[in-house]
Amino acid sequence: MRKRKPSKKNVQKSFSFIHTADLHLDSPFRGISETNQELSKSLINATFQAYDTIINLCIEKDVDFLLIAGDVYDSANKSLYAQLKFIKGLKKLSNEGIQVIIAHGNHDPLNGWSATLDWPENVHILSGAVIDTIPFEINGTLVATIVGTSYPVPHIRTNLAQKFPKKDGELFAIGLLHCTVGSTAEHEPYAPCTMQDLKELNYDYWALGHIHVPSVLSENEPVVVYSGNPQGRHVGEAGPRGCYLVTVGQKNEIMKEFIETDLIRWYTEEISIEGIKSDGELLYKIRECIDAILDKADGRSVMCRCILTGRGSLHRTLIKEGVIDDILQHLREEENFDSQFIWVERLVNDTNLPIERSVLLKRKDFVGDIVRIVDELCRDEESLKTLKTSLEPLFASPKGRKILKDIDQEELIVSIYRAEGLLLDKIMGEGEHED
Amino acid sequence: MKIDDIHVDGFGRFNQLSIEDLQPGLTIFSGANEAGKSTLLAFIRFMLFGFSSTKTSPNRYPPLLGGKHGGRMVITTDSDERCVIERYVERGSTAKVTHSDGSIGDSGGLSKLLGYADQNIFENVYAFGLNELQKFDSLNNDSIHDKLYSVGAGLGSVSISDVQKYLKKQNENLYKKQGRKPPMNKLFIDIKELDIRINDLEKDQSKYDSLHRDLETKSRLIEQLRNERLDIKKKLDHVEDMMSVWDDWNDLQDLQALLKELPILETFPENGSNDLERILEKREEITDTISSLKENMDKNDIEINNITLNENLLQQRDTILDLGNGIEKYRSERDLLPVLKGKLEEEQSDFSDLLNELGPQWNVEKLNRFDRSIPARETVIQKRKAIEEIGTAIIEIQNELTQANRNIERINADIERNNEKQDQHEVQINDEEVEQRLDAIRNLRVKDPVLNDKESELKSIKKEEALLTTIQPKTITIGQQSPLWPASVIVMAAILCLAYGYFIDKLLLGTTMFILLTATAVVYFISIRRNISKFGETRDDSDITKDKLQQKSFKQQLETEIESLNKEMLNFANLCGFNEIPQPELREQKYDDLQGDKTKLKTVSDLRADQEGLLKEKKKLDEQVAELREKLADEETTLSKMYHEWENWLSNYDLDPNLSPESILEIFSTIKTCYLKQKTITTLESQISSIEKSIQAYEDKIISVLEKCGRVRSGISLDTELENLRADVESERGNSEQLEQLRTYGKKHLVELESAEVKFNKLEKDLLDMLAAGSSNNEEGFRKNAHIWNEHVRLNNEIKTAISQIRRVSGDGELYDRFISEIEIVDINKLERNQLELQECLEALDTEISTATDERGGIRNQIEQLEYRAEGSMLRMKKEVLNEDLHKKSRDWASYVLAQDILRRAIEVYEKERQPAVIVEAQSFFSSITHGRYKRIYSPVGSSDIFVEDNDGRQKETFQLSKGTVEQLYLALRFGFIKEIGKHSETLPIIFDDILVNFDPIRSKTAGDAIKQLATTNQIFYFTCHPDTVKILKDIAPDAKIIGLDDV
Repeated sequence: MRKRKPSKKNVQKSFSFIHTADLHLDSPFRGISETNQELSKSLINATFQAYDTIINLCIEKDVDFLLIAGDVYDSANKSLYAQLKFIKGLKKLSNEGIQVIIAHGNHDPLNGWSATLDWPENVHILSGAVIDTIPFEINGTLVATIVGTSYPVPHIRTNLAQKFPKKDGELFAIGLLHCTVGSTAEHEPYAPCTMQDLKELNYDYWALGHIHVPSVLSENEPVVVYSGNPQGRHVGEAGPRGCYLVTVGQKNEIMKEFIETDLIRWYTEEISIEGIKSDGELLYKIRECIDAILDKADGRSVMCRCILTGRGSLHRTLIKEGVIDDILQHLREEENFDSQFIWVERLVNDTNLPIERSVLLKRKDFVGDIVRIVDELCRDEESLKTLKTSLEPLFASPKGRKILKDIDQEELIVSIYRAEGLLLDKIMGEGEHED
Repeated sequence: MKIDDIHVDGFGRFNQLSIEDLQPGLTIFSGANEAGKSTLLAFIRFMLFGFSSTKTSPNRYPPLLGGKHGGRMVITTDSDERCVIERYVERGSTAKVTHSDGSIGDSGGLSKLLGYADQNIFENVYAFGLNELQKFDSLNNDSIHDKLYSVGAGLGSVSISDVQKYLKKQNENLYKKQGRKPPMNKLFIDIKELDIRINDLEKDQSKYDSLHRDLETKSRLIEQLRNERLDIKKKLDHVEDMMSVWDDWNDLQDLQALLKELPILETFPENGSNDLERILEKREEITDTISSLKENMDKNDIEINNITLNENLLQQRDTILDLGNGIEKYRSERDLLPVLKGKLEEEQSDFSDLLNELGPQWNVEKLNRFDRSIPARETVIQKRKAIEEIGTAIIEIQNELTQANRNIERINADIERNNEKQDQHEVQINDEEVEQRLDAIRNLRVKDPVLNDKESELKSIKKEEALLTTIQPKTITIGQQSPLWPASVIVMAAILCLAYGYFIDKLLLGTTMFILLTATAVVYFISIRRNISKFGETRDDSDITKDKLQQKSFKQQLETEIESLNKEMLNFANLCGFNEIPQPELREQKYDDLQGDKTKLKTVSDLRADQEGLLKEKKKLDEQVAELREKLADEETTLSKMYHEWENWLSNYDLDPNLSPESILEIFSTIKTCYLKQKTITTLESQISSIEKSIQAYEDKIISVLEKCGRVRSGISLDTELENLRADVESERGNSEQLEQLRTYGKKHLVELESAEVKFNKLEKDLLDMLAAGSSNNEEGFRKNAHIWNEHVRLNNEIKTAISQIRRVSGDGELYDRFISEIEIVDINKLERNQLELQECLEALDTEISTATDERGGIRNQIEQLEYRAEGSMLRMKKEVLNEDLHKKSRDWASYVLAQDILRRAIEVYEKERQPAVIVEAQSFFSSITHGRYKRIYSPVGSSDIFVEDNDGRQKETFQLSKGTVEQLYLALRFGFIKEIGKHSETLPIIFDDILVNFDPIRSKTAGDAIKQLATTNQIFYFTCHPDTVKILKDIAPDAKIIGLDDV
């Protein structure tokens, strides 16, 4: 590693760094079915702003280096804009004499970058061919080594951790890798490894990337951390997002601090309609909920999904065409995107009529028949398969196959119950549930 | 379930209505229109289900005749449990169910009791009238079918086909396989278009890399071209260098040839020619200087010999100059002397005049003896002031005296006028009489109304007396009783008199009147009290007697009072000069006259007071005049005393006793002037003497000098002599100085001459040396050699210049040599050709470089554009949004498709499992109602049509049936449903609202049979207003209970 400008620090061995990963610069927010020009701008800028926050944090905290554990941007998007913005941030750090070590991941493998980028001198891109070891010195004294590797291509299914050299001597060792520790259903198991693999290498700190939820897998010997992505991009990435500021003391003691960097935070809130008589009352309750979220968000902007649940007569109003959309429009209007905003990205109607299904099942009439038919269908896999064929005109069409996400069995059952709800709403008289 | 008791608290027209012990079978409620059938039906519905919220403006049957809105019903379930259902509007219309075990249930419990039947089922199947039956008539087959499902499936008024249509429409509204407009189709198109744009943008990265490669290639090319250009430029520069020094090269060669031709001269002094010329020039200059000096020296000697000096005069020079300084003083003193003498004479004459002015006996001696001190002068001033003050006092007293006399005259005139006025206002009467008479008139004023009242009262008593005498011939004498009120009237009068007296300042008179009147009132009161006590004693006799007595006494008292008043008033009238009591007009006139007299008396009194004042004032003035005259005599005595003292003072100073203090003060002033004059004369005399001495001394000195200088006086004034002497001295001194100067010049010229001769000799030597150095012995030879030498030098310099020009372009050392060797072998034409070729080559390269640079700029621009192209972010965002919208809509679409599928399956189940049983039951009823004319009803699976089959096996659709038959068909179908549902669920009471109206008597009877049959399983209430129907039903079902609604 290139030597840093002379340290101002008195304690020679003490140093600090920031660990981040999965920046996914310029990748779009997902799951938003409606937006507008201003909101789009805010959302597009969000990943860049989070990155800028990290860059500024490095400078402000006067760290020695920045570790990026993969997925800087989505190379599938081939966003030149993202790459250049990234370089711009690195140049800022270069001017401050802060080193940057980058391990590329499955989304931004080495072959996914433009070949002609003007990388600043302070940047070390880990090679994909071997495991690199980068020494870190302060005022000529070697104080740590950073060991890591990049993905040469997107799909790496081998255990890269096993290829890492074991720690030699007492020098502080940091592992930098984009990988999957253990098993996870949410993320593709790239470069899979176990905690044991990591422990055996005897490193002090593992700066990992790939899993978007910030998490500390091990608190000591070694400290294993997924910094998570610095900006949540869909409702599944709710909650605080940020990076880790790590300070290593003279005796290699590690102090880590999670620093929030997200400018827009995702929230999912459930609101029960039970006891609510009118849509006006519901709107009031949603607004209350929104206000509570804004309080929690600590000045950040918010993307929020509200799920209406419970049984109640209001259900009948909510299933009417356009009602949910009207409420959404009402909630969204007057939102100002220049400052802190809250965008209710979706209002999910999971409400039901105020009637017990068990009661319906006992009925010896048409309604009882429908409820029983639905139960039978959901129980029988063959029936489910048959039922799914009725969806083929859309889902099996060339366009549908190409663009639409297929409905799996689990989702099919949810859809069947939703269809039952639709039917009951239509068939059952309004007075039927009142007493 | 059956209804046992109905208790209406308050509902529509019913108040506290109780219908109890309703039987399980058929009950007929009969009553004319408006008897309350609909209200009762509505009450039962309300008790079971509450008010429907679907109806837009439901009649809620408010309790018109009072009572609590609602009521209760007692029911028995199929399982023989007795429950009480209560429902009141004020409790929110919620049902309260009290079970037989005492437990309380709510609406949910009631729903269970009703076998989960809802209001719609109840209204469509169990409780209906002709309207519901006839509604089928106008409906199409699909609707009938739906209604059948509705009825059988408990769907109320919901149409299954409507639901199917709705679901299909929703689906198609989202997506059509071949469409473009539905939102999902549109989304597919939009996403495709976006993909194309995004794909285009995704090429940016490879384009960026490719552009960078192009940029590098282009940069290399430009570098290479620039290097080439540099080479060519160098060559061109070299050629142009040679061309630029071509003339110099030619010159160099010519100069070198010329140099060779010149004779060889080893050395020559530097600037030899110039130096020679300079030496020759200097030698000439010095020669001129020497001759000029000699000439000057000769002239100087001649001038010295011409000057001679007067030594005597020069010796007396200082004395003469001193005298010269005093000449102005001498002349002014000489002029001043006669002036001073004239002035002295004038002063002496003035002095003698002043002495004369003082008096004949005044001379210098007396003058010096006179005391003119300040105290003496002050004494005179004091005396003058005292005399003046006394004089002023006398004048003032005299003025006052004159003024007093004038005042006395004025007062005398006023007294005279006053006397005249008094005579004018003379009156015969005095003040006291006037006041007495006025009081008398006032009393008359007061008494007059009292008298009138008394008299009128007396008159009325007399009248009453006459009346009493007429009515009561038998009079009883009773004691006269006087009233008490006059006493209070007198007291009032007394108070008024007192008040009046107070107001008109006659308090004494008022008080007297007050005491008199009060005393009268007291006497009167006591006498009355006595009469009352007497009267009280006789009260027992008779009231009339008593009255008469009382009246008589009163009359007598009145008369006495009137008499007394008349007398009193007459006195007052006499006092005023009337013989009898005057009439009010006369009385008031008299009052006015008396007021006039009173005013006149007041005026006379005022005038007399003024007269007294005037007399007093006159006396005072007389006293003042006497006093002033006395004072005047005193002052005049003092004045004459003062004059005497003054005369004494004058004689003491030997002065004329007739002189006034003012004159003495003037003498003081004149004496002072005399003293000043005397002093001036003395000063002038001493001045004249001093000047005369000074003039004499100066003249003596001049004469002495003249003698010493040997000058004989020519008769002119001494000062002019001195002036001449002084001019001569100055002239002699000038001659002496000039002589001295000429001698100095002579010495200086001599020295300069010697120096010039030395220089001349040195130049001669230098000239010889120079000629020798220029390899010549004469000036001509030297000059020739100098020319050769100069030519030599010039050529060498020009050669140097040419070489340096060449070196400038070639460089030094080897470079120069190489350059020379190159230029030696080329010619100018070849050079020019070379230059042209190279220039062309250079231009071509420049064009090439410029083009390449432009191209590189273009590439850079493209790179820059790519770097700032953020469009992709927005497009990807947009695509995400569209995808999400599509995803959401696809799930909606799936739900609608699945709902359709489920509905289809439910219909199948219904048709297969439920319809047959319903149809079987209905068929039985229909056959029975139609008296066996129709045997069969059926509805094919998958069809909405209903067919009936008659005895002959002919199938008919509903529209082929008569109105009555259709009604019967649907009645049968309902009966079928009731039967069928009753098998699976709670049997509910059935309410018919005059449904047999359209049936002919036979069918009415058969329908009645069917009703009777149904009544075996269900409780039936039949509402009718037709006595015939009652009869039919009663004939069929003799057990049926009839309740007349008109009676309840």
